[in-house]
Amino acid sequence: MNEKDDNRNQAGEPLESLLRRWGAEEAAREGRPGDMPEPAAPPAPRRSVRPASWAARWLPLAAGIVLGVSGLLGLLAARGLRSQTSAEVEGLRGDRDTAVRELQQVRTDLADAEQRRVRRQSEYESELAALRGRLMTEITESENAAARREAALSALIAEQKVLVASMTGNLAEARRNLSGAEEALRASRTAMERLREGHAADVSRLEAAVDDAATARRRAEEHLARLQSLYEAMLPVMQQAYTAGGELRRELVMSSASHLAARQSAARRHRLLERAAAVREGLRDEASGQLVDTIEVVLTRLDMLDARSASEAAGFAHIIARADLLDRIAKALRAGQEPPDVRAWLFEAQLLLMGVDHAS
Amino acid sequence: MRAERLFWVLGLMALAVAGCAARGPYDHRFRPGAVRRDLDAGFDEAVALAADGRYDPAAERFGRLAEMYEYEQQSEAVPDAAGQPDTRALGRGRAAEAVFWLGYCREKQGLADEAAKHYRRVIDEYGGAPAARQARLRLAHLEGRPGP
Repeated sequence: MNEKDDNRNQAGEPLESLLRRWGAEEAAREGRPGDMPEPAAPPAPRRSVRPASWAARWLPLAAGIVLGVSGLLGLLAARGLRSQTSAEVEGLRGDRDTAVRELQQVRTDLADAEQRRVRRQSEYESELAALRGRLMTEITESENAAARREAALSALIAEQKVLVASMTGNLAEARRNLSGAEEALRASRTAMERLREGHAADVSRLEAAVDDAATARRRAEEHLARLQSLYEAMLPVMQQAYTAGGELRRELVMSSASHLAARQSAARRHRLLERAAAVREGLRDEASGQLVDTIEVVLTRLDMLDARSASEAAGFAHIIARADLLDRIAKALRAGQEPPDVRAWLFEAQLLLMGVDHAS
Repeated sequence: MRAERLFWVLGLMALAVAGCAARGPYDHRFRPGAVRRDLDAGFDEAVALAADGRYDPAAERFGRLAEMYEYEQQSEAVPDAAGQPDTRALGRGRAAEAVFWLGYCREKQGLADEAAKHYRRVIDEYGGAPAARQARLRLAHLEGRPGP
């Protein structure tokens, strides 16, 4: 017998044994007559007759009557009780049949429940096995991950130790620097206080100096304007002196027919083209280098042109005007960033080329 | 009277035909003034390009101008208006100068060998021209010699 039958027997055994015992009692009860009244007690042993009173004579008779009446009543009662008991037995039999059917239904339900339980148990066992497998896998993975984390943590701890050691050194250095900075800050504050104390006096002195500087600048500007006027007035004279070889031969320079010849002679006499290479070596600015290249082309053209040709003079003037040469030279001279020999060369070129466009 | 007038007309026509035949085929030398003005304008434009530091287009123009001036200076002398210089002599000077400027542009472009070739050509072929003096100066500078 398997476990399921044991369970079923264990569940149905009390009820079944009770029903069996009840059935046996009923069968026994049906098979014997109804309970009869208890047999009358055997007559008491006759006492010694003695002259008795009427009570002793009649009392047993009364008792016998009473007992007979009571036995009759008992019999009647037993008959009523028997019919009632039969009805009850019929009802109980119906109840027993009902109970038997219910018992069978219960057994059927128990069998179904047992099948479901067994099926569910097998399902649970398979699920449990799967869960165990997954759990073992997860445990293995967790252990591997824990090992990796442990290794990484160990490496990180070692790295952090090195870093902490380094940071400790840096922190000590920073603290030293901080203390030095605090000391410097205190010194600066002290100096600032002293400066503030002297600030008012310095401001007044500076304001006076600014006023003096403005006055000096105004005077310098006036002086510069006078010098500029003087320079502009002197330029034609210097040009005449330069192109005429030191002799103020005004008619030679101003003559439109021969001014180019005078400029050619002056350029050759002062060897402007030959000095261009040395001038280029002393340049400090790229724009000045382009200016020197342009001047070199113009001076070369001046050296080779036919001074008698009006068309060549016009073309030469056109080249100078197109290159905006005189303004560029004046701008470079005003900037004053080049060495003195470069500025002198540029000034000579300015003297040489000044007025070419007007003269042509 | 009428025969005399006809004689003069025929004579003038004959002189005109003879003159045209002597001049040869028509080319630019029949208008030397106009051609020279065009060439000179192109020459000034090329010099302006060189002054502006644009040596490559300037060299290209100077190369063409040198050929044209050389062609012109090889032609016969054609007297222009009274008092104007001989166009052949002017063409020779301009041809020398164009070759010089060609060498100058190449020198500025860093092509020293080609520049020296052009300078030597100016000195050899146009020794008396003003450009020859500048060519000697530039060539001496290229060769690291003191200038003449």
